[in-house]
Amino acid sequence: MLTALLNERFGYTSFRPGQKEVIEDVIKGHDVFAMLPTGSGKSICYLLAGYCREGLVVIVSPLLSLMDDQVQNIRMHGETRVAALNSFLSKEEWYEVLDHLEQIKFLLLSPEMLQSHIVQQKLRNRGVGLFTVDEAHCVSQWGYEFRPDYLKLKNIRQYLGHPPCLALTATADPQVRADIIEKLGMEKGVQHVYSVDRPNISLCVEEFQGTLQKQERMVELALKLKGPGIIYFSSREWTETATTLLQEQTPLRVAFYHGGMSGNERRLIQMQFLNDELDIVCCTNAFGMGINKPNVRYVIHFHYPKHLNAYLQEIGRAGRDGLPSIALLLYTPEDHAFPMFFIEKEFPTEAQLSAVIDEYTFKRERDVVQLAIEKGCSESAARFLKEQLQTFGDNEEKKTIMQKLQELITERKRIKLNEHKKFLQWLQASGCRREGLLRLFGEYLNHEVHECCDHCQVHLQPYFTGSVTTTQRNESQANASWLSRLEMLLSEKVGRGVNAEKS
Amino acid sequence: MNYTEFLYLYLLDKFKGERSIFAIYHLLKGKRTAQTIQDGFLYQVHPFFNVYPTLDRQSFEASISELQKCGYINGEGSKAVRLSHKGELAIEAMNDRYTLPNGLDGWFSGERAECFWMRLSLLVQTLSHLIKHEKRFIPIINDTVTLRWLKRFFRKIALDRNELSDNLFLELKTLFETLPAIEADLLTYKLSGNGVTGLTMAQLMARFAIEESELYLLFYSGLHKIYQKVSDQPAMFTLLKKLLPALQGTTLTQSTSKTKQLLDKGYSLTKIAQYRGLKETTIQDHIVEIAFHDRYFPLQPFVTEEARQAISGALKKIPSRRLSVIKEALGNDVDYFQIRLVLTKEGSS
Repeated sequence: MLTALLNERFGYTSFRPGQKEVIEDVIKGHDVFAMLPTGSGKSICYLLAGYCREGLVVIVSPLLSLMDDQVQNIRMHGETRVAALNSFLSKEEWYEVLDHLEQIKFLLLSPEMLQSHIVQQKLRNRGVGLFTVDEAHCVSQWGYEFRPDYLKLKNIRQYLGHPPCLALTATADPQVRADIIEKLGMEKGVQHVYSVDRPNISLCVEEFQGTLQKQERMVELALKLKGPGIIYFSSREWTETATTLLQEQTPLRVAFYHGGMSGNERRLIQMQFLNDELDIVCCTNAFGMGINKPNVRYVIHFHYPKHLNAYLQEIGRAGRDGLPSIALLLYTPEDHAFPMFFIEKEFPTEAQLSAVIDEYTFKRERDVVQLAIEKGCSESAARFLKEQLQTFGDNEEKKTIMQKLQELITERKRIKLNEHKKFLQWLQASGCRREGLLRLFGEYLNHEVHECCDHCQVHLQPYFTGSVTTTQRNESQANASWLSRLEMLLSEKVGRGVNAEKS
Repeated sequence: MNYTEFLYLYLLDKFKGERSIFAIYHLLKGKRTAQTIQDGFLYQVHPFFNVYPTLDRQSFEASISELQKCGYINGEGSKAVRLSHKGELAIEAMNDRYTLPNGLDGWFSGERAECFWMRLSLLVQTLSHLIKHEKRFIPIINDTVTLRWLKRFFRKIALDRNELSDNLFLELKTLFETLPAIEADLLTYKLSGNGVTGLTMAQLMARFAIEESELYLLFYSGLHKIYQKVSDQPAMFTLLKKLLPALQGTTLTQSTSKTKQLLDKGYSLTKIAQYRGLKETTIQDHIVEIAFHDRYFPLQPFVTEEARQAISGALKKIPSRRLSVIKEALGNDVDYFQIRLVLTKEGSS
């Protein structure tokens, strides 16, 4: 019966591993903790379970930039009763949503929004049938993306009449898992933990003496590897530089993608990539979330991320169709400094901290984020300060706040640096890469993986291809005049026909 | 000299050294302040209003200091910068190499043309999918107002999807044939459909090998032209005319809107001032603002035909655009209000 519903609503004929089990338990009214590997369609879980339960489905999501994509994706499945509540909305839009809750089935919310009493009240009146916590690892302070607001979710769920809770994450080690379950108050619930392993993705790491050699290797790989592919960089500037380089030295269709582009422009790149109009996207970590492209054949890391969780998420965008794919991490010794640099930037310095606290305590009405940025904080440091300062009472002494925050920062940095250390150790270890990765998530590799990793055995040859077809396509497109472009858009007979993305 | 610097030089020339360089910056970015709007009319540069919205201050300042370094412009810092003799020669020489597109109408058409474009983009994308029997796609336009508009559009229209897309194709073809090829290319490459996605500005720059400033100018020139054409000849574009936004924009400030309502009912300026308990000069400001927004706004109730001709003549004779200089030349028969009003009509024929 569930499979029929899946087909009717989403057009899929079968479930991916884990989905059905999770959905069934949620429908029964259990609290469910689910760790499903990247690309396994976590959203299907709350959508389908939601259809089988009375009342509103609340989805707490920490990623504001992702919320829009999520709403779009749900709309694409023909479901119009969906809305998002976040700080991007104007007051009118905000009330527009809250006053029409009866007409909404799926509501995406940032954790900050859930703190509002009006929101809580309106939700309680509407009746919540399912309380979903997406990216649930944010609950854990052992996690790399801890969000203090997530700690309050337990009480809010209580206030909403204790609807069943579905906590979803792609990657959480055993310590973080236990923490999530405790902090969300779902000890009596069911756990569905699936391996983070993606056996169809080969893992390769290559070390280079300098950036120039690494660049040359990137171009070589781009030329040889069968696409489409994603290449990750640590900065916006790098994505643009690399795009120009690849455009000059290869016949491939390459574009960049980063958080500095407008939403509209980012959407265009996403759609081009989904439509196979691009061979490579050079991007920062802003790219990928919410993008479900089945045939990505490789992911290259030109710079590696801050922690292995992010690494797993990013390489997990390859091979969602189950076909052989490859993840290549390229690094130079200097690259190890990058993550540390970014971790430092995520928090205010001592001087910034005291400058912000000085003005903050006297002028409560000021926006902390703006104040912190004026004092030289990075955006993430500013957001950190805003979240933290809210937790102090009015009569707390400045000295105490300063001291407590400094302790907290030291602790958060220690956790993050430790995560980075694990990454370094993994890069430099000599054993099987897959085994090492799984061990960090409390798993054992108990089956043989074909073309596993560069330490076991990987033949790059099968991933290579000639790029003739792309070149030809590239040229034929370059010559299109406005008239043939218009025909491609609006004539029934012209155009590239069926969308590649049907499943 | 690159295109961007040429554009700045052209605009600096228009401003006659009577404004700071940031008048150009605000104009191109479409800053809605009384100063920017009035300057637009005074110096006849209002077609450039908001035609380069992504311009950033840093690169703007860098171009200006490049022009300064090359000796094309004189003037200290950012104030009252004007062209040097060398600059005047340069702009002459560059006229062969660079041209400013002729369709820009930023002030009058800009906002409504933008709305027209969003509707067009969404309609093209939707039809492109529907004729191929694709129902699921991610809308290129994320804005709920436009999405709602499309729903209403489909509810009211009697044609089926194939007729619609055929008609749309023909009307767009007719329109694009009147444009320079490059403008038509840019517009069509920005549209998305089934299997063909529009390009980003960065991609268009690379594909057509043009600078960002020129790209924006050409794009908006093309867009403003097709918007104008559809507005002027709705009988020829029976489908596209349905995409035109209602004429009544919401761009007027609230207080000005109230004045306009009373004006439309036939109240005189003095009556309105009394009725609203405001100074007459305030109502005058409102009327100038209304005239700025409506190129067909009649001036007769406020300026006699004689005075109008006198002001027009003076504006042609006097090189300066300082209101005080113009007023002085005209004597006591006209006031600042009348000069400002006549300005709104200059060069917009």
